Amino acid sequence: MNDFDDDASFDDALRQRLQDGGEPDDAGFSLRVMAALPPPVAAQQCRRARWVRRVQWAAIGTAACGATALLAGAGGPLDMPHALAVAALMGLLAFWSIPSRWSRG
Amino acid sequence: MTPGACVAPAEAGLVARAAAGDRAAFATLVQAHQGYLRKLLGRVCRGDQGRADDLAQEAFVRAWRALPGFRGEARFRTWLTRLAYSALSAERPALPLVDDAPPDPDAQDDFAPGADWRIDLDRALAGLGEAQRHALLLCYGADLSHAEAAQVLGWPLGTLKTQVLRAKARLRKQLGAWETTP
Repeated sequence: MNDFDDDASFDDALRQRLQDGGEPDDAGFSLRVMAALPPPVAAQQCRRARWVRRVQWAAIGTAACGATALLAGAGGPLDMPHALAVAALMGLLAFWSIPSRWSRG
Repeated sequence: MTPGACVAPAEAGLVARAAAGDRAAFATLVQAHQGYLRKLLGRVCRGDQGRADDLAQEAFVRAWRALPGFRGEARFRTWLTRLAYSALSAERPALPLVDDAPPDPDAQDDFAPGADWRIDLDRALAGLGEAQRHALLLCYGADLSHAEAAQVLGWPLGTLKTQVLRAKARLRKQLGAWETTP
């Protein structure tokens, strides 16, 4: 006979009943779960990709500002070093920005 | 609370490695928790172990996807149980919301103390509403705290406590014949 006069003993009886019986054996369940997992995307990889994108946009902005400053600062026709610098910056702009466009989801 | 404060140190290491994409660490977590989760879900699914295993698998797959965002603010087991209940809700949106549905009248009407009080307890449990049954299963079957059970079910803590109290009162009323009389 069970004494359920106090709440604690009823709680114990309830807990015992709801927890009795063993846990099911693995029996290949873990293997089944592992086979169902999608390919991993590590958090570290996600963080790195985010930082690469930020650095890429910073470089694009800096190159654009540099090219604009060089073009605006020259009163007349550009001399050879300035022209080379502008061409280099424009080349870098194209190099950095076109792949980032492609990679945008 | 600092991240990882609620996760045991050994488990915290496994969780961190699994979150970084280590499948072996995740396999260890699956092996450690599959028995608990499948047993609980077996009771939730009223003995349908095949369906329970499908839900458990879905919970582990969701855990694998969501692990990079797990900050250890709850026990891994509680978080996993929450994911299993999310999978259950996705399968049957009506569950496990708080309900005021009347219990099964048959289970109530033909209730009578039998030879074994466990049989009567099972019958009384079967007569509870879904919300009360889930509350008891989590608090007593899975041994989660009230706060953890509330988190799993997505209820306010007060609601969970009310459901547990109502469920126990109902069970005690039905099991009244087993109470010791002076």
